[in-house]
Amino acid sequence: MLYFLSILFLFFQTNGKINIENQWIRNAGKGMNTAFFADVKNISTKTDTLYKVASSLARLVQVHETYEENGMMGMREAGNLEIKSSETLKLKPRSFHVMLIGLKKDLKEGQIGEVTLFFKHAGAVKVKARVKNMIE
Amino acid sequence: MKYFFFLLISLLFISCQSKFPEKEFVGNRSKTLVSQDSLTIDFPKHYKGKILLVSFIFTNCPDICPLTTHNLQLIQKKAKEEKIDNVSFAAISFDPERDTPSVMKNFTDVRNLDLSNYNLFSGKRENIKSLMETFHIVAIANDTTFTENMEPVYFFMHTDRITLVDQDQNIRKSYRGSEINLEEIINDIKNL
Repeated sequence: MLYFLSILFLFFQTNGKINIENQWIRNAGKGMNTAFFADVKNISTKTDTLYKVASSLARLVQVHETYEENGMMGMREAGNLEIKSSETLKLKPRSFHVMLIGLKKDLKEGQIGEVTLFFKHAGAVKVKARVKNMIE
Repeated sequence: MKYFFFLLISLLFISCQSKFPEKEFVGNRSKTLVSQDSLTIDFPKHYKGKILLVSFIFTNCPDICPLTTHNLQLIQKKAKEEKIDNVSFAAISFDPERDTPSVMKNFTDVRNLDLSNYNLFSGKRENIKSLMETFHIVAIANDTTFTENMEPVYFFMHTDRITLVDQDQNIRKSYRGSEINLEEIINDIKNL
């Protein structure tokens, strides 16, 4: 039962106001940068805002956005991200993602990492995510 | 009848050109690079006689470059399944000061790269710059941020590309690196 619950925890986490689904972290070596991805669904009746992210996995953690300009790809820090009631913010490759800058250890496939997302209304949501090479 | 053959040959010529819109010889612009295993080669001369898929990346890249190196892995896997053995893969760092052989080695280890025909390369800044010009790659350092200890962290705005080079060292086609059509690339390899 405990095993089943821990597996379920890796696919779906909630605090009653925010649901986190399909979360994963891309594998990377110590000292490198990588990213956390997830579907963040606002299941409350109010618009909420993701305003901060944290994790003990890296020296610096920020929400970033990948963008295309003049045929080149770049990245910049994103501001606060608003999520309307019943809507989903997709943190995904080539888009918004949580940047883990300066990893404190290797993150290899199959390991579990924790990231905390902070919302103005829902508060802090701790998320456990599996480390993967890429989406299967 | 004469006109019919002329038309047929013209159509065949146009059809071949549309498959491979580029033909630029790069074999005479080789520069010395060093691999993740600290092996020194002349690039791209080292790959003469082989089909080569090459991309330019930096290992600190959190999003686009891992997608590109992963896409090269997908092409490599598919090529093996299709028993295509005359193709090699190269990812060259445009951040050589940080991407030393040991850093690149850790990158290949963590991602379980099959290094039988896939290598990461770094090298002297002037050699990297010259190869970037040869392969029409641009990378500009930007978006510098700082850690709590005020250590600078920088990223690059860069070209997102995988380039196909034929056995005679001509650039033949370019694809987006972070999003690929696997079948298109495999068919192009088969058609060279």
